[in-house]
Amino acid sequence: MTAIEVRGLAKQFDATTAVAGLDLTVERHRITGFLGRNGAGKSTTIKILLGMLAPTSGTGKVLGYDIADPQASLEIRRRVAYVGEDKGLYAYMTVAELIRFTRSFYADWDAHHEARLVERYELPLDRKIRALSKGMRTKLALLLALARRPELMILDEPTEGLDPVAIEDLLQELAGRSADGTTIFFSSHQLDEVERIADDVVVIARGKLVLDSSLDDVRAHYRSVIAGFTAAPAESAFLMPGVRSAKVSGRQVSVLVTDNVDAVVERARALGATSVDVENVSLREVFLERVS
Amino acid sequence: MLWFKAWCETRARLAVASVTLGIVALAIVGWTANWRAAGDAPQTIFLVLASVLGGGSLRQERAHHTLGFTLALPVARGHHLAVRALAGIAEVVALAALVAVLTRTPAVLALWAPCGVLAFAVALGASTLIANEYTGWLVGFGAVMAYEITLNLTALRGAPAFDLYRIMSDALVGAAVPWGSLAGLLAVGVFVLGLADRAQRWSTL
Repeated sequence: MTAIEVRGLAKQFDATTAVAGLDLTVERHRITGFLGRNGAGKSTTIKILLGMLAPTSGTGKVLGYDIADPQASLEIRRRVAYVGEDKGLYAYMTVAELIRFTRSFYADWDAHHEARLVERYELPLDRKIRALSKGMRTKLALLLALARRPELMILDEPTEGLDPVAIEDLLQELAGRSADGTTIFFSSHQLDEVERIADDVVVIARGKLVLDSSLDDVRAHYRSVIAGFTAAPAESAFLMPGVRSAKVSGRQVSVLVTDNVDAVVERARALGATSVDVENVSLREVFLERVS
Repeated sequence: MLWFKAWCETRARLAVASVTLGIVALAIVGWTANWRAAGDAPQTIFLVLASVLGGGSLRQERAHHTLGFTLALPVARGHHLAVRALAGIAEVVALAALVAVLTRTPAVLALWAPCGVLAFAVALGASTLIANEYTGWLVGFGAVMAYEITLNLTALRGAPAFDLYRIMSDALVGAAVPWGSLAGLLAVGVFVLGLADRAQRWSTL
């Protein structure tokens, strides 16, 4: 059974289309990175999944519960730990009060892990949230999700505002949770973080799915062919099956390729390339190609 | 724990309202020495403060960047509003009781609380439609005042059963308590809260 499944999901805000017919599947027990540029529709999609926004059209299920059914939506929120993009918390409560407040809503709260996280994040329990730094607020927002033992965690840019040590700590925590069977679906602009811990990657652009693949498949299928020329040919010379993009820079042509590497190498040589190298690509290169 | 949240969000306003009404009540007792001399000012102040307690809907949480956190809780929107409304009504009743005790006029509790509940309900209803907290207060109180002015400028003038100020005042200076009007006000207040629930349920926050 899938953790998240949406079909034809759309959300319109007046004249703005935030999500445009999104099809998306997130497998259970895996870490899925949810990527896209600012305004691509990631946060809107997440809010629709949690029943915080109603979709204009489309259907979806989270942990088997229909997102359009108000009662099922309550059950989704009971079973899913969520950290929002803005990390907004009640400024008038103290850290201890907010933890106590949040704990009261969830049966899967782990008090021992809560205590460990308070200590690890060095959170001052008696301080008002309005007096916390941005990083501390982010840590507290994470604690409120991580102190639970949910089936699914949905994290919207969870590392934003954290220092490198805290980021490392969080990534290890998420990897450990995944190993324990928790499904993790998280959005991020930090592609190296996604590449480090994600099993699968979903990329959206302008509210539509442009890539849904395992990272292993991305690594296996994408290659960068870099060819040197005395006089570089036009990019259009590399328009052929399997080529995702071609970019001329000085006397060098970089071609992002899927599944047809040999033919592209042959084309480069036929065009008089003085050197041809085939390299593995990073998620960054694939992402940039897909969202551009 | 939603009660605790509602208490945290309104306790400062309740404290200000309590101090203000305490001063008003003591002035009535020690300075004017009777309700007739005090005019409409105490009732107006009470209605303003009841309106101020009506701010703070889910829509207004957006400005504080807490809407996402609140909506992610496994709680229906109607439940949020119900807790907020019941907490506010309790606070309005407490304010009326405070004035009743300080002025040693038990009728204030019966007369003012329903009127305050109506003002509170209108303000809370306005806050479910208006994102700005202060504008919500103004619209809520403005609606109550507009009702009163309309009443005095139309054929309903001289119909004490509909006049908030007369309902709040007449029985303090010897008239019979208008139980029917008070029950009607409470019913209208509950109706307004029902509309607010509908508005909140179907709105895009």
